[in-house]
Amino acid sequence: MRGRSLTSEGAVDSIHRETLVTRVFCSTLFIVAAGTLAALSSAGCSPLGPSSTATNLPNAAISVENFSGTLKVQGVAFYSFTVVDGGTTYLSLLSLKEAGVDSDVLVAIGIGVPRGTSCIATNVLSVKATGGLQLTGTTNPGVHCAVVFDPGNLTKDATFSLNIVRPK
Amino acid sequence: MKMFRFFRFGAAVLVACLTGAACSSTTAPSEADSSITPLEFTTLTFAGTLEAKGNGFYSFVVGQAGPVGLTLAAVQTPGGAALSIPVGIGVGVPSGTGCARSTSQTTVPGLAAQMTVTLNPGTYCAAVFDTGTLTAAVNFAMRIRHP
Repeated sequence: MRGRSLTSEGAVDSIHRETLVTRVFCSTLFIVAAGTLAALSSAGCSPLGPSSTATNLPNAAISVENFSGTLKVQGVAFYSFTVVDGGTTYLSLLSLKEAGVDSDVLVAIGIGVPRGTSCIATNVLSVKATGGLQLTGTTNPGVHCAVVFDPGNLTKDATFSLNIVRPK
Repeated sequence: MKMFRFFRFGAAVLVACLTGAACSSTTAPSEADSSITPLEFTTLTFAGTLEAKGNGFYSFVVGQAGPVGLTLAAVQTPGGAALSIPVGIGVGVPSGTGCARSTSQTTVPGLAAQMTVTLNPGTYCAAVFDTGTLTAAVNFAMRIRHP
């Protein structure tokens, strides 16, 4: 009886140990699964497949204008546009070619207001023609301008293409 | 009793005067109501070279609604000889690489404003352009008077 009893107590202990091990295993599995889900979620993934996050531009109604022309050595060119609803305007230098050849020199782009015979830029950045959204500026309702100028890096007259993404 | 009625009537009149407009006194218009802000004008000079078949423009800001005057004061040869050749002048809004004119006319240089338009506050441009009469580049000077 004693031995049986002992056997029985051992079985109970064994069951308890197994239960404990199972619980620890399940808890660990749960934590790992939750962590994995959280990591996937934060990475923009889903167990159901990759998901895409919509990138909303802050302006509900935008207009894209292309400003193309010739930029002389140490020259300036600007383009005026009217904004009815205020918002953020983005500039993107799409291409720059010196004598017809792609150029990776830095030229300056800016957003400002037309005054006199030029564009008074309040926000200026030196960029290469990468095609991304390179310069942002707040444009209130009114007339504004985008300007491109050579700070002294061009060795030949260049053609350029600049996109102006602005609120309507 | 009559005295009481008299006081009651007087109190009613007082309340009516305090709450209604019937007894309000007529107030003269205050100085702020009657004042008219005089327009202050700025005169700008737009001078440059006008190529044959070319054009140029000058941007300016109108701060108060009012008359804007353009005076084509001079057209000269590059050597400085005065010309009375007609050229185009106009007013509009800067747009793209130019000036989108809403008003324009052809005129010869003179001492008085050849064009006057009433504009609201905003950004505008004054333009000068060859209407086809130029055979060579000329120098010009234009006065822009705006509020």
